[in-house]
Amino acid sequence: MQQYSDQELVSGVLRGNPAHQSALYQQYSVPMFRVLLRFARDRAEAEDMLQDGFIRVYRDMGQFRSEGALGGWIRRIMVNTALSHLRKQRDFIRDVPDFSAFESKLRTEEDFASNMDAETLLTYIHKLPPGYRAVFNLYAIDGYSHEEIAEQMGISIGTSKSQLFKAREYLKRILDKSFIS
Amino acid sequence: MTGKENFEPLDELFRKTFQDLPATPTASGWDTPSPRVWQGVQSQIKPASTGWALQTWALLAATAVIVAVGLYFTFGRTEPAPAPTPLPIEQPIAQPPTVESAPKEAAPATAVEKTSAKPSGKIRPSTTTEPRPNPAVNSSTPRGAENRGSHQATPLPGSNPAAPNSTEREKEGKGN
Repeated sequence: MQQYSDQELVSGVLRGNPAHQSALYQQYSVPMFRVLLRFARDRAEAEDMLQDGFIRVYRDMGQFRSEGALGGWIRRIMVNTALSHLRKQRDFIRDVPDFSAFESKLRTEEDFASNMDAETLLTYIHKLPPGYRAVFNLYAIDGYSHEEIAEQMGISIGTSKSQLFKAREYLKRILDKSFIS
Repeated sequence: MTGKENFEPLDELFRKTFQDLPATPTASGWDTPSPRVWQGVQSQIKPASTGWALQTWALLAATAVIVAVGLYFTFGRTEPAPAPTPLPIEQPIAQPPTVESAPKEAAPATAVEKTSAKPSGKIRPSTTTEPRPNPAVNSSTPRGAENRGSHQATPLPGSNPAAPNSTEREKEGKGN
């Protein structure tokens, strides 16, 4: 497939050129799908997010300003799309009071038999409640601050900190004895 | 709440694992979306426009209309023609009513004016000349003497004929 620069992709998409539309998708679908897989509970939901996200990318391409990287702009759209999906879920922000029930889901032999590659870590993330998952992704991996998370998710800063702490606790309990500390 | 440093290895593990992924999709395909995603995207995004977009055509049409209207008001609108001046119509000079016994030049002005005042039904040019009495004749001959000669009513038998006017009375008085 022909490689285009970001500027060529943008101008081509704005003209409605199918070749540029396809090239943009081919160039950014995999990295964006990796991001969305961390926010979704499963692969199917991540694909729904990816489809909605790319539709917004093509629709809003006229708003892209060339000061920043196209990839960063698309990534922000994808994260916003993921959060919109998560907000629609009834248990988006909730506590999991019974930690043992949650822990029992993860403590299986196959969970710890893996070598902790991205695909394996993804399975752990998918088992977190949506709010924990979103806050952990935004803070620990994507580098958002609690203020930014609170604004993006429509929650308080205290809630963001609380959700992050609990997410870490869950993940650490799974991993600490074997791989961490 | 535990301090941040306690979770730093955990955060680092996830951050490095997901940020250091190779640019190409993995062989297992876990990070490759299914083809249905692109199909869904294609069905939603607008198709490529063939030729000029509708907006372009609309803009051109609007421009053409504006130019046409401007040209019409600039060049196409002529000044209203002034009302045509009625050409002088040659008309026969209104003839006073024919009086068999009276010469034309001696006809009383009142008769001529009455005749000319009759509606003729045609536009009468202002240049039409009225027969005017000759001042020389008026000075030598009493005005209307001939008229009275022909039009004066015959006095009734036994009546004392009165002078028709003060001039006549004066003349008669002088004669007496």
